Amino acid sequence: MQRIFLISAIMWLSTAWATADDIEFTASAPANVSVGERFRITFQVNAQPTDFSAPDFDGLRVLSGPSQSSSTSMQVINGQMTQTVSVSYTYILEATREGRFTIQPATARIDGTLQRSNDVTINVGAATTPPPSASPDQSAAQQDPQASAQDLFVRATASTLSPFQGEQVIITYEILTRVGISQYSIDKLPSYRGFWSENLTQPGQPQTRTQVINGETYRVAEIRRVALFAQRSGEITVEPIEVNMVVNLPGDRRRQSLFDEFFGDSPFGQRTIRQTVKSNILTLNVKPLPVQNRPVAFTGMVGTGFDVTANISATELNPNDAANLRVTISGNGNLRMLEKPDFNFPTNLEVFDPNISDNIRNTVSGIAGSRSFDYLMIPRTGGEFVIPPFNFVYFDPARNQYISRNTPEFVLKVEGDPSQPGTVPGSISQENIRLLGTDIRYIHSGPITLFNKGTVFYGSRLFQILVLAPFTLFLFFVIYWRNHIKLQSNQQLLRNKKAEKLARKRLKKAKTFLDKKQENEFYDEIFRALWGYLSDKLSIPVSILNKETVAGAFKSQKVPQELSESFINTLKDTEFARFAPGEKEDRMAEIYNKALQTIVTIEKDLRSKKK
Amino acid sequence: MRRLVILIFILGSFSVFSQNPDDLTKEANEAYSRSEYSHAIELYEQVLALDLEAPELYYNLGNAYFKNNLIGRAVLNYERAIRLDPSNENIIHNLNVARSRLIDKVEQRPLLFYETWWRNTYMLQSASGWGITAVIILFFFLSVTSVYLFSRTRGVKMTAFYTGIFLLLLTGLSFIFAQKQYNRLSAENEAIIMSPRVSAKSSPSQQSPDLFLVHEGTRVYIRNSIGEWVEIGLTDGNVGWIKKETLEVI
Repeated sequence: MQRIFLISAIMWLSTAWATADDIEFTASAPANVSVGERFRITFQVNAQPTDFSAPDFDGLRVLSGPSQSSSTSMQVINGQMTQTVSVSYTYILEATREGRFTIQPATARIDGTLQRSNDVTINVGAATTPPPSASPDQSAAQQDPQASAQDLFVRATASTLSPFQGEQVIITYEILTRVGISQYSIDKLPSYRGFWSENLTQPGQPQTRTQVINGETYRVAEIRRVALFAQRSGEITVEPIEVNMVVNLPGDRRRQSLFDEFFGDSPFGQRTIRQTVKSNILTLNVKPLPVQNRPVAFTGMVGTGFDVTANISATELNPNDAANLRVTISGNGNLRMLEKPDFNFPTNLEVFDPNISDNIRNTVSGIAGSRSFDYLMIPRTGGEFVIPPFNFVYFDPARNQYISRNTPEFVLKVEGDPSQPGTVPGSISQENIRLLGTDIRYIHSGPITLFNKGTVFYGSRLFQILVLAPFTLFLFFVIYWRNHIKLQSNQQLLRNKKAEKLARKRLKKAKTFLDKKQENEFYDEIFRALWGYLSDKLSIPVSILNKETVAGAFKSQKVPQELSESFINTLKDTEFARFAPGEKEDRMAEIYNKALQTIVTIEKDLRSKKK
Repeated sequence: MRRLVILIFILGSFSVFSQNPDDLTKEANEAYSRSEYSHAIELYEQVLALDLEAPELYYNLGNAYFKNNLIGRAVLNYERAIRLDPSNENIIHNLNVARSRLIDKVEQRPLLFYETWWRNTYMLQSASGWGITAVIILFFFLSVTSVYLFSRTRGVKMTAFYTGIFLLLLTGLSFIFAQKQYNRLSAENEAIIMSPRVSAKSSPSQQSPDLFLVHEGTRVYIRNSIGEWVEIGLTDGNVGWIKKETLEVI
C-alpha cells in the first residue's frame, strides 16, 4: 500500500512537471556600475533548460562565466507535492568604458520551446574609485619594461588536436616562467563556443616542475585543466585565457637563481609589476563520427572503456508488487550527456520513468565514472514478462570503431493468471493515467441559441404565472363543480324524502281503484308507486330502471338480500297478476298488501341505515 | 423541454442585438476548426461581452482555452457551461479532462450514498429545467386531484388518490431542486483560481503566514471577503485568505 502511495506521488510529480507552463526566465544585473567595476549578471530560469545561449556582451568584458548552478526544492503540502527548479547562469563582467549598455535577452530551450529572458540595461558611469590595477606600484611599473614573452608566457595544450566529435579533449593551461611570480589570477576564461566544457582543475596550489625548452629552463605551473567535448565537426577555435600575474622582475641585479621559490616573497631589490598574459590560441580540427558501420542503437556516446551492467531486485513476485531494474553505464566520457536507455518493456508491465543517480568524477585525466538508471516496474497481471536486453553502443576514438555492449535478458515470473488483470489498489492514480491519454471532445458546431445573461426561467414572471394559473383554474373548477353537485344532491334529497309519501299517495289511489274494481288503473298505479319509489329512493332515472339495475342499486345500498328479492318478486307478481286468469279481486287485494308491505320494510331498512 | 425555454427567452431578447452575435459564434466556430484558437477565443469573448450566454458558448470557449493550454480558463468556462446545462455529457467529459491536467488534486469529502443520489438527481437539470418540470407536474397533479374529488366510482377515486400523492411528491421535489439549482446559480460563491500559484494566508494580510498552496484551475468556495482579500475554502476542508484578483467567480 505504501509503495503504491509512493508511486502515485511520483506520478503526481511527473504530471506536475508536464503542466508547469509558467516559466520564468529572468536576467538580473546591477543598474548602475562604474568603469572598471566588476559585477555579475545572472540568468535565472525556473525549469531545466536544454540549450542555453548567452547574448553578446557588447562593450563589456567577460571575466568569467558562465558558471551554472541549479537548485531543486520540493514541498509537500496536504499530501501534494510541488517541485520548483531553479537554474542560474552567472557571468562576471567588467565595464571597460562609460555609456549605456543594453544586454540582449538570453535564449534557452525549455520543454521544446524557445524561451527568452528580459533584456537588461546597465549604466556605466565614470570610475569613482581607481580600478584595482591602477595601484601605485603599477603606475611605476608602466614605465618599466615588462617581462618579455621569452621569460613569461601561458601555454595551452590539447590532449589531441584532431578529436572526433564528442571525444574528450583535455586542455591544459600552464604558466611557463623564468621570472618570479608571487600571485596570479585568471582574468578571462574563454566561452568555449561549440564545446561542452567541464572544469577538471583540482583545488589548491598548483604544482610546479621544470622544463627545458630551446636550452632554457622554465618553471612550469599548471593553472587550469578543462575537458572539452566538441558538439560539431569542423575547425573550432579555442579562445585564449588571460592571466593576470604579479611578476617580480630582478631589476638591476642579476637574475634570480633557478632554485628560488616559485611563489616566494620577492627578495629585496626586486621590482614588482602587474602583467596580463594571454595564452596561445588552439585550433581543433574536429572529425565527424564515421557513418560507415554505425549501429542503429548508437545514441552519441563517445569515450573509452564503457561497460554496462544490469541487475534486477527480484525475478519472482506477485501482481502489483514492484521490482527494481538498475542499469549502470560506466566508462570515460561525457557521462553527463548520457540519456536514459531505450528499453522495450512488455505492455502489461507498468514502468515508471527511471530515477537517475550519478557517480561521475572530474579527474585530472578527464571525466569518468558511472551513471545508473533505476526503473521501478509493477506487473499488473500474472504471467511471465521478458525484459529484453539493452544494447548500448559507443564510439571508441582510440580504436576508431563502434563498440556494442549488452545487458542480459531478464524474465519476471509473476504469480497468477495472465488474462486476469490484478486488482489495482489506489484507483486514483489509475484514473490519472487513463485520463492523461484522452483529449477533450470537439466543440458544439451547430447553431447556438443565445439568451441574455442571468435569465433563469425558474422564478421569472412567466414561471409565476405558469404556477398560479393551474391553481386558479383548479379553484374555479372546484367551485363550479361543488355548486353543480349541491344543486343535484338537493333535488335528490328532496325526492328521497318524499319517496315514501309519494308511494303511499299512489297506493291510496290504487286502493280507490281497487274498491271501484278498475283493474287496469289499479295495476298502473301499483307499478307507478313501486318504480317511482325506487327511482326517487335510489336516485336512478326511471328510464334506465329494470330488475338488474335495481338489484345492483340495492346491493350498493347494502339492503339485505331477502328484502331486495321480495321487492323484485312483488314487481314480478304484479306483472304476472295483471294478465293471470282467476279471481281478480282477491289477487288485487293481495298485490296491494304486498306492495305496501315491501315499501314499508324497505323504507324501514334504509332509514335504519341512515342512522 | 430546454428548447422551449430557450425559445421563450429568444423572443424576449432578439431585439437587443446591435452586432449580430450569431455570425460571431459561427465565425468563432470556424476559427476553432482551423485551429486558430486565439482568434476563436477573441470572438467568443466578444459574444459574451454583449451580455449573452449559452451553455454551448461557454463549452466552445472552454475548448478553445484548453487547446491554447490555458487550463484554468478552460475549467472556468466548463464550470459556467455546466451551471446552465448540468447533464450535458460532453461538458462533463471535457471538464474532467481539463481537471486531470491541473496541478492540484483536492480530495473530495467522501459523500454518503444517499448524498450522492440526491446530488446526482438535482444535477440532472438546471434551475430552468426543474422549473419547467415542476410546472408540468403541478398541472397533472391538479388534474388528478379534480378527478379524485369528483369521481363517483370507487376504483377511479383510489387510483386518482395514489397518483395524486405521487405527483404531489414529484412537484415538491421539482420545486426543491429548482430552488437548489437557483441558489447555486445566484450565490456566486464558487470560484476558480486563475493565478499559476497562490499561497493562501492565515489572515487577510501579506505578512501573515502561508497555510497552503493552490494552483491554477482549482475550484474553491468563497466564504468571506474583506477589501481585496477573500476567504476561500477547499473541498477537503482547508480554509485560507487569498487576493481577490487571483481567482474568478464561476
